[in-house]
Amino acid sequence: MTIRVNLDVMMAKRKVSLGDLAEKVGITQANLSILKTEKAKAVRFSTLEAICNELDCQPGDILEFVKDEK
Amino acid sequence: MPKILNNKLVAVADVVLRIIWYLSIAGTVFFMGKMLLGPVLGITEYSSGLVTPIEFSVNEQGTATFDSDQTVPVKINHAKGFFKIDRPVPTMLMVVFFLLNLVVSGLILWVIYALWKIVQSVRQKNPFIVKNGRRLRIIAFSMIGIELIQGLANLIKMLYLEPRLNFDTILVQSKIHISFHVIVAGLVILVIAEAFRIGAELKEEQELTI
Repeated sequence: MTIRVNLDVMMAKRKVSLGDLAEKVGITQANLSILKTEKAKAVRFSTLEAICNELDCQPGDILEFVKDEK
Repeated sequence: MPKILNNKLVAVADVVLRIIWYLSIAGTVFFMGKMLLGPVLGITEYSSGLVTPIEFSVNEQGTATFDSDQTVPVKINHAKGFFKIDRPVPTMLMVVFFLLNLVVSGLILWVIYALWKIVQSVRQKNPFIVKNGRRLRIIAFSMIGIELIQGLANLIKMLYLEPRLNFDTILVQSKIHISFHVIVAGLVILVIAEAFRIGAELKEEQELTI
């Protein structure tokens, strides 16, 4: 996986729990957990927008591109 | 068709396939066991006799009566039947036919099992899974495989057995029967299997889109 999800870092910085964030963003805790554990295959712009809005951050704070080392 | 009727049909298919599956397993074990254990148990009929279907030419004439006053002549020129070569059958021939039957039986069991599992997934309202695509592919390849193996068996009969058979009134005429309907049906199922696989992948992707 070359896109790293740093949601847990941002959540820790903002001191927000998974359940609270899921409720505020309007998605289920299970889906937010899928995103947090990097199991998601895609993220909707609307979801990203809602997360950034709640955590008061930029998409780049949550998603990070890591080049594969070959 | 009403939804309830559809559900009932799927439930019936599930039960029927379950019964067929267990009967097929029992039948295969029984016959293969008899064949393999024949010499041990002293059942020479199953261990050394060769029973196989064959086609032959005949020249039989008869009549057919449709109304009380209308009788027309009928001829039988070509017929299918089973012949049994009594022991001692050449071991090599027995081994070849045993292996062909074993492979065909295995493929038939595989098809029944895959079909049963697909029906079960439909019953659980979750048919669009990658596994079902794989199962459909198994069914398709097995159908094509069974047809080709039977063609091979016919070829062996035609080239090896037929010149060695002598009867007074019939002329044995084996043909290589490869049903192109079955091959085409197998190819169609292969395409459906691929569509299933793509559909299942799309579903998974959609489910993992947050």
